[in-house]
Amino acid sequence: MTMVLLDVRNLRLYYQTTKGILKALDGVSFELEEGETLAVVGETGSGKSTLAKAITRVWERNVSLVDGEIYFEGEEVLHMPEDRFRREIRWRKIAMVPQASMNALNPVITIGEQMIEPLVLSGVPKGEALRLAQDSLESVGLPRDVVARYPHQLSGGMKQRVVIAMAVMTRPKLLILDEPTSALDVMTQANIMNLLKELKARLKLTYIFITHDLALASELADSVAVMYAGKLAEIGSSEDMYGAPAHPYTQGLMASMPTLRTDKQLAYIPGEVPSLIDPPKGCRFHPRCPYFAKDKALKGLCDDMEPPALELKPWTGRRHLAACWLYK
Amino acid sequence: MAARREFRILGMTPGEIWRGFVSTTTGKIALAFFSIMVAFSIYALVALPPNFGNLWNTPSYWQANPKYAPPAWINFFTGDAYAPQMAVRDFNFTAGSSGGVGYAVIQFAVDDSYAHPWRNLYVIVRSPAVYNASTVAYLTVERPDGRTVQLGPVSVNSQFVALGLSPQIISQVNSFYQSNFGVQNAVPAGSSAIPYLFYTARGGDLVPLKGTYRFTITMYSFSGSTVLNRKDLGIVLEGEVYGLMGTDFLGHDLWLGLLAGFPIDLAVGILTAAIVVTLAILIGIVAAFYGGLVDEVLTRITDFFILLPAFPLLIVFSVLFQWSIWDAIVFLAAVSWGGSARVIRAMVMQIKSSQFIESALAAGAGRGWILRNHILPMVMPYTLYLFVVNVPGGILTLSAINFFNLAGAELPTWGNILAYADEFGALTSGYWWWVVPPGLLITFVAVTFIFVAMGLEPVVNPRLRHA
Amino acid sequence: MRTLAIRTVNLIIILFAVLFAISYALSGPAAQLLQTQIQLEARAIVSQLAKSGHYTPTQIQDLYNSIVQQLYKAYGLDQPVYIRVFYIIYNMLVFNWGYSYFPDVYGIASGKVSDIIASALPGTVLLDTFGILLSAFIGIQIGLRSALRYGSRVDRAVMYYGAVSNGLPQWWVGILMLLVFSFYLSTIRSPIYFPSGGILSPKYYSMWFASPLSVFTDPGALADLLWHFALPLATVLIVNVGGSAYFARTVALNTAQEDFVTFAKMKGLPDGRITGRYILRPSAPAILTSILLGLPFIIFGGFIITEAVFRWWGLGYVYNLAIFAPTPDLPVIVALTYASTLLYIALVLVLEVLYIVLDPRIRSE
Repeated sequence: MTMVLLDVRNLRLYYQTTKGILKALDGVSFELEEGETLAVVGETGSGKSTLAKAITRVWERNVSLVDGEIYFEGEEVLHMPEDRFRREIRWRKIAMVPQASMNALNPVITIGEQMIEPLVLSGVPKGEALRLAQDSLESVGLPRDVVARYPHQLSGGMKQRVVIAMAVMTRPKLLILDEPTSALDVMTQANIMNLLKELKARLKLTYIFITHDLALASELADSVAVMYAGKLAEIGSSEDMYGAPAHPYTQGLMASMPTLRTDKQLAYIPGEVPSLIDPPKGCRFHPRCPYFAKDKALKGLCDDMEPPALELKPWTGRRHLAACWLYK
Repeated sequence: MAARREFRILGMTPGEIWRGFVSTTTGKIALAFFSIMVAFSIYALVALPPNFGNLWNTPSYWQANPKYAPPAWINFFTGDAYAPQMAVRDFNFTAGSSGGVGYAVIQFAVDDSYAHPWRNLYVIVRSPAVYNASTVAYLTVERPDGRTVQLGPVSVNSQFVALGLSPQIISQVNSFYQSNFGVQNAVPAGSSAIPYLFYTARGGDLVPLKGTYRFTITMYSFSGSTVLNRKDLGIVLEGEVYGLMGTDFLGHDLWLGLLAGFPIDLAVGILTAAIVVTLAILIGIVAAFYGGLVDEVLTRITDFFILLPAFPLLIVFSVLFQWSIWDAIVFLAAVSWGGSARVIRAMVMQIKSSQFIESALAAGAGRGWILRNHILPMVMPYTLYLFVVNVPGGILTLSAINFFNLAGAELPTWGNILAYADEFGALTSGYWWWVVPPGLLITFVAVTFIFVAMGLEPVVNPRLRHA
Repeated sequence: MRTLAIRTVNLIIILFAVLFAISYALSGPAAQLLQTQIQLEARAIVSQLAKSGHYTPTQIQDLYNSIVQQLYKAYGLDQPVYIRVFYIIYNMLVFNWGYSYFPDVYGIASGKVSDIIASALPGTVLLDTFGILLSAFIGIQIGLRSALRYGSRVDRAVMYYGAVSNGLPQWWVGILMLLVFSFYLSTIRSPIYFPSGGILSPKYYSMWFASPLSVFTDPGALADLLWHFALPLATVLIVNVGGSAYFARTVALNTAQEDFVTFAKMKGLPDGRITGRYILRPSAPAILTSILLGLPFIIFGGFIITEAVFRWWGLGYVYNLAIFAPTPDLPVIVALTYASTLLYIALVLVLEVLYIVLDPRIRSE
């Protein structure tokens, strides 16, 4: 029986800005099983990157509120003392490949130095750490002598791989990847995706894969979570999500994806992403929801009360939840 | 949602910029300082006469003031020990003529409660007819101890008559002390006799006598019937302390002098910065925009000016060519633009090589269009910042030049005031009111602009916003 | 390496240009002054002779002319401007700096400009160079530590102190120090008070000029030097520590916002290591560059006046004396300006090398 690796409950993260409080994450809950690859998709500003920052506890200075619970391997980690979290969890159990990884490398020290740092600090002898680093580089398809180079001597794709190599080097239980390929060309993108698939199969990693590209997510994901305006709209297995999306937003997203085989009329979702400082009352999606626009019975409901995550009958093993009054 | 076109600079509307500016503590302080500075400058321009610069250098204007006098408010701390400057206004006045002799009788009383009484008594006669005629004045002082001192005659032969150092009066005061107290040579050689009117002798020492003193001045005019008018007369008792900021070696009212410094120093700083920024933008944009040989040449020229030791040359040239302050400003600005030009050039280079310029060019946009619509809107906000940043340098450098008594020693700038302070030994005599305020004001103005620049930083450096 | 060579050549060319500009500007109008001065002197001499009545008017006139001519020749005024300028530049380069017009002003017997400058150099090194470096060192320490405690009271205090100290006129602070610690202390007859100026008490002058290092070995002389050094050094520190601190803080704050610092945190690195390797090391080139770059400016900027206020025997004070001598003492002025520019260029070159060492990004260009 696979165990629950990550259990996020009612996670909230608010920022303080000059225009008011920005509710980047407003009550997100989900579970992640060991070995599962969860794709978190959503538009810009939906809160997906913030989710990653919240889980790794590395956020900006102007955060005004962090609330909720995160259970990792059964232990609550959101409120764990920072020092313990740093020593035991960060990078050892939970690692992250951030967005725009090209800038994630320190320009004035060599690749090798940066790679072995966490290992050396936990007592691994330098020689062995270096060897591990070189092995890791090899496993992501880079030559071993990259350890002696400086970041500016590598291309964007190479730097991305270096960061992935660094992340898997310590064999974390959970690896979060935030848009790992969005800054790369299509060829490199394909290479990285293959690499991730291979690592998943070989090392049995648990991934959280954050992206705005639905099609890309489908290559790797066992399950998909759709975020909208700081909240989780829908979560379910890939089959459920791609085959029978329940939430109107998810349906809109799926409908707007071009397909190779059929000639389909591309749909779009009208309207704009709502403000996170002053979100719409009730369900955040209701101003753009086609069901709300058509069905008079929903008035007074969708525009007044926030829908809880409602359970749907799943087609396959994973729980399927949608936050929509249609499924009351 | 309506897409109303808002005016944005670097992604912020002017309203947002303002709010961002005042939301920081630095911005608030900067705003406060700046308002104070502007308020004082306007007040100076309004309250001071337009020819104040000339008045500053006319010693006769300040004659009646004590020299090297501390400010009047030190009396708060010294328990009213020092007599303040007093222009006697309510005095009894009768005038007339009899038998071909014109006369005037002036009577007034003063309350002396000071350990250090007045230094001198001035009679100001603003009527040439009177002082060109042979006019004399007699002075009678009724002391609180009942004794009376008779002084005079003193000849009134100019507009401004100082009674204290008149040999006649000195000897008369000496004899007063001799006959009343048996004290020889009460008035020290070379000193004014007036303070000693307010003293008494006790056990061989001279101590202040507090109480009410009545003065009667009688003036006789012997040529014809020239009559003195009340309004032409002025009586001034020179105090031990003076005004808000004290006086200097010439009796300048330092409060007025410092006040006058506001618009002048401010103008100096602003003018320097304006020239520097104009040159920097011109050269920076031209160099980056045209690139190639133009850029090479302009960069070398910029390097040249950066390497030029501006300050020593400024001093040397000011001496050699006897520059006025405006010459100095122009020279300083003309050699100081280098650093700013480099920054502008780097900015424009960065914009020029960015992708949306490439695409604009590909879409057929002309260079002029790109300049107007892309480069300038990004450079302009930084211009304000650059301007503000350059003002303190201008003020500090030119105050320094003034301290050497160069580039316009006749203006009441703060640097000049300090120059005279140093020259006339304010340091070795402890005239703190002469030394501290001017430097403090220079610092105040410089710091104001520095704070404004700090408040503007988030506007020009987006990374610093809401952090 | 190639860029370094090109830069060096560029800088040397500019040095020449600056030298030329200075020499030309100074020799032109200054020569006018000198001419007038010479004429006045000649007239004075000649009128004395005329009064004695032994000479005819024509003889007087001839005498006057010949005196003027000789003096012109002695000061090199008989040659056209360009030749004069050329000679000046040439002499500067071979360090043949000639003789001062007014050697008595400086109290150096030989009157050689190089001797005068050599006598003043230790004083400048002590106050200006050491003073600025010490300020920079202290300032950087404060600024970096402050950046790490961003937003705290200490940090804000440092920020404000830095901003205010940038607006302080250094020479005025010097005056204040003298007022408080020299004048007032001696007025209240405090046992501890500071002198009103000078670099040493007169009895140690010859020791200092002959061999400055000997002063450091003699406890009495050293104490005297430190006693005189206290106020000027305090002035320099007060005014300059703030600026360095502010700048170091700003650079460190900017670096701390970089993505690689966030990533270092994500990697679970301890704060100490992040500070050292991820904030300080990348910031180092920028901080060092700007501080070292400011060094020569500071020396020949506000320090001229500060040295004058304290009558501190350094290059700035010598400069001051040269400028305000009866007529500007050109040989000294030109030599000093040249030396300062040379020093500046040397420092720039050192900096370029340092930058290459510290920032690998430049190395491979």
